[in-house]
Amino acid sequence: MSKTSPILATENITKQFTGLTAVKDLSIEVGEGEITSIIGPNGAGKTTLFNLLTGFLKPNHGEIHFRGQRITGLPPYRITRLGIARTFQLIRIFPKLSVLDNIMLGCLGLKGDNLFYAVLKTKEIVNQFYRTKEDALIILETVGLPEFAHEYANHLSYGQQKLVEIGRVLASDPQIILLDEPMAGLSITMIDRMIDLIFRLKKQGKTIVFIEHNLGVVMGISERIFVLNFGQKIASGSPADIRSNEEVIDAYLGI
Amino acid sequence: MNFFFHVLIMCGIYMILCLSLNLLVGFGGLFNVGHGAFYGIGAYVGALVMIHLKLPFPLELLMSGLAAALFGIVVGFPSLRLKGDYLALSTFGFAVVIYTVFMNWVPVTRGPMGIPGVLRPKILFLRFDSLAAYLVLVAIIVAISAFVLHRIVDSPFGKSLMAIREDETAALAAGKNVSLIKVTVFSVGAFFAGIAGNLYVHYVTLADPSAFVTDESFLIFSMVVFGGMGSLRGSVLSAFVLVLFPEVLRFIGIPSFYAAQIRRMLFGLLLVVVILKRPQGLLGSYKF
Repeated sequence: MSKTSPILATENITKQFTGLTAVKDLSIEVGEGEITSIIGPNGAGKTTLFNLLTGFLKPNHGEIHFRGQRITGLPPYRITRLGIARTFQLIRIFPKLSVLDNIMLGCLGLKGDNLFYAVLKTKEIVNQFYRTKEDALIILETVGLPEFAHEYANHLSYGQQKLVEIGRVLASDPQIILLDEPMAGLSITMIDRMIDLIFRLKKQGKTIVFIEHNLGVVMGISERIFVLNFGQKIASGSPADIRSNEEVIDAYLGI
Repeated sequence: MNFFFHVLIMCGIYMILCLSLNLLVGFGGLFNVGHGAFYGIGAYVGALVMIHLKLPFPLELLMSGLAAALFGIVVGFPSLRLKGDYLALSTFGFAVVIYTVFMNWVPVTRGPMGIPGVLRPKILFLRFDSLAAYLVLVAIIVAISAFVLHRIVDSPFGKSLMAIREDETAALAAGKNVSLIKVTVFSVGAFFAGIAGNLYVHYVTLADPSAFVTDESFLIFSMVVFGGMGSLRGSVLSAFVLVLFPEVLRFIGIPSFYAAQIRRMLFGLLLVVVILKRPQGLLGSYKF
């Protein structure tokens, strides 16, 4: 663990659905500026954990802290505004809006997002809009899609759509980025692009947490790994620790 | 000439109805098939305020809009939990309830007899008694409504609204307060429908429940689909064409008794053709 206190931490969170405990008494800590991954077999509660962290689900017990501030039970849009943004396992973009609009929709604090200012349309609002547009174009460069700015988002390929979604996440200038299976369904070249992007984001000081089944990538880029099984943490540590952990091999690696 | 003015005034009123409904349906994906209820509320509030309170017209117009907006907020709440067809059903139910209230709350609405004696408005020394003058007033209010709605749609707020139509979960993840936006647009849409209702009641000088039957809501909805969901220009064109259309039938010498039936048949046919051949509507670009 890093020397400083964790940027994101859960304390004994539990989430029960009728007849199923998806996440049980789970405590994890994410270090600032680190790349953390969450692995485990299907149904282990990884996505449920993400939904708890981002407010899409409320835990039955336990607390979630972001920089020491309690964020348990806050609605998703408030958690995003605090600086935790996510992608989804099945891509969620705005298919019939342009790629540029998709990115701009991720930007926070636009005054024109308020109905009354929208109608007034003062010079300040127009200027802010154009500044945001510039920022969005820079983000499109970052994710490598500048030539698609005015294309409908659903005209792009699967991998490109994933990049659009990450672009929207970046537009909110988050401190923590949660990626749900960023490599799934990508070609080998696209995986390289995605890894490269994650490293560049880390260099910018972002904290990254991702769920992934591609263990090559997980072992290659993670600084810390949490292994879940049946909603519980069965191991955590560096890639080397995880590789040699008997319980993990039994439950997941299955070598 | 008067007939010509009459048609244009009705075109103007339907333009406001279509534009405001398009904000909800075309841009927000919020299927409201009870827009006629807000229209009716605006009309009745206008009539009652004029007769009992005798407020200046601009204030009365505003009250019609605000009363409808208030109901818009109430109807907006189900939209936080219901989507698509289910929301459509709940708004339809609302329209039925409102119509029933108009018909049966006799001490206030005088039931099926309606509220007669609504006068054409006057603002300071300006009177809008003649059809030509009233048409000017309607045209001004249509222009203001179109301007405001265009500003809304064209802003980041409008984009957030479209984002909700596209993917509500993604909009939440992008930091949009989805519930607030939905309730807000419901009240804005209802506000303008209320304004249209006020203009209508001052035009026909009678608040009559039969003008706000649920058919009316379907008509407005069909007009929005016809013109193109998500296209404000389409709504303006559609209101114009579809209000004018039955009047043309009258001109080609079909007796008015049959004209009403033929109008419905042709309207249905027109809608089927548009949906098959141009699903995005006359001027729309968005295909659902």
